[in-house]
Amino acid sequence: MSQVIVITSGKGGVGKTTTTANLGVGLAKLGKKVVLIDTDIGLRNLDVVLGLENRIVYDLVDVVTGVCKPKQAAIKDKRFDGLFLIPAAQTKDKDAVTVEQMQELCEKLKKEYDFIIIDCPAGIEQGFKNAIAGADKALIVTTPEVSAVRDADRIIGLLEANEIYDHYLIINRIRPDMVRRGDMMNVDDIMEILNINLIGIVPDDQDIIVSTNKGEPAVVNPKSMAGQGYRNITERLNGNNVPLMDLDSNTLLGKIKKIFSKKQ
Amino acid sequence: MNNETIVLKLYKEGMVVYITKELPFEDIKNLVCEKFGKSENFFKGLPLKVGFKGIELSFEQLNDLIGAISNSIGCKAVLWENPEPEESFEKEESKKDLSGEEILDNAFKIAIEDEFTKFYTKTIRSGQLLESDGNIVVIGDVNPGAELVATGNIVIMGSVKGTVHAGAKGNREAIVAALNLSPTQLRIADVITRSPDEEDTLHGAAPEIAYIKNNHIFIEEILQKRK
Repeated sequence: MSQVIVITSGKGGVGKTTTTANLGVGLAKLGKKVVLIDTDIGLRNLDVVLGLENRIVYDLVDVVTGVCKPKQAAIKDKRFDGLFLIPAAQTKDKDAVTVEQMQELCEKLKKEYDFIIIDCPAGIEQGFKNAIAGADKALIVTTPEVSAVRDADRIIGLLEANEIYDHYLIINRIRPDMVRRGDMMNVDDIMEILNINLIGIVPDDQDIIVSTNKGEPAVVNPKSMAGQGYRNITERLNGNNVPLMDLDSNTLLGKIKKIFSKKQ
Repeated sequence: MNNETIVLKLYKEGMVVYITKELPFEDIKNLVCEKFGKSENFFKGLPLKVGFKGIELSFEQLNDLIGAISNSIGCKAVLWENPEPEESFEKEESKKDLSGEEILDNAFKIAIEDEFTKFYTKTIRSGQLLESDGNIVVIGDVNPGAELVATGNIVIMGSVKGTVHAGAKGNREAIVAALNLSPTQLRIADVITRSPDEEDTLHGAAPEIAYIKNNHIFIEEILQKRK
């Protein structure tokens, strides 16, 4: 049974696009047929993060307006079989796509792909409405900041108003050292406010910036902490039960601390 | 042209009176007589064929006007029905009606509308789409995410990192030239190339030109180094 998953957050810059790219690659690596849809019309980025910008001929607006078929617009990834991207239009407006057109497109794509992952734009306007239109499941990305959590709360409310109750939280960019010092909200604090199911946490990782700039998602890097976080989420999306990452044990400092704390 | 209500034009076949304003018939008659009266000597002795254009006139009104013209120029005028002048009697004659400014205006119109070149003197940024039914010249850069589409040639005095499409309606003769040609994607007519996935180290900063040869897009330096 194929799933249509929207990745959303409300607030900008919390990692929606990075998450979409990583989950897409992660699922494709598990042998699934995945299509990513960038709905951020006018500010497209997903193609750049995946390193596919130079292959764009048709875009989402061309697909929904019937200029081309979904198959023609879906760019095959250069590294992973089974991963496709329908890029956003860059020179059009968000109003170029309607809610009905998105629903129709998602229905069509369900027949072809195992996972349809929709990258939502920031904000709660037309772009957001389009992005969630055809989705059965939502992953809400937030960071441990009050503003991001507040926006995530708003988004959860809007999703429920649009009858999407199958929603999960991804807490991105957690810094274990700051959490330990009490300078950053921890997972429990956020969960207490938002009170929805958690599907994964992704630690803050400098590798993400490097991999984003290179167009190579971190999920393929076995050493990357963030990559591990995303790998766990893909497993869970796939129906496997994986324990939540232990943030402390995965850092060198954490490992050393553990050794000492045991000795004491 | 000008603001006059009555404009006279001389053609090989005869004279055409252009009436540019809807006025009461009497006013028109007076204006026409006045106009012809001024050039009384010019027409003397010639039977003149006169047609009218611009407003609807009844047959009676037309004959009335012809009679009035005959009186004011002192020679016989005959009605020219449904005048369709083929060419100006004398080219200089018609140009007399134009002021210097208008002639310049026309020259510009021909240069811009017939050659169809659009000029831009700014950096073209992501999300901007420039289209032209002809050529495009950009004095500035074309950033990634920007798109140029021209049915003719594209010339960029700057570096191109966006998408460019020359000969968009199928003109395979079209070219793309730039001071630094490294577009995300380059299309000429129906041929598409894209930038290499790896950083291109061979690529210099020399001005380059792209064109179609044997169904492939070729890119070469504009100024070939001489041995």
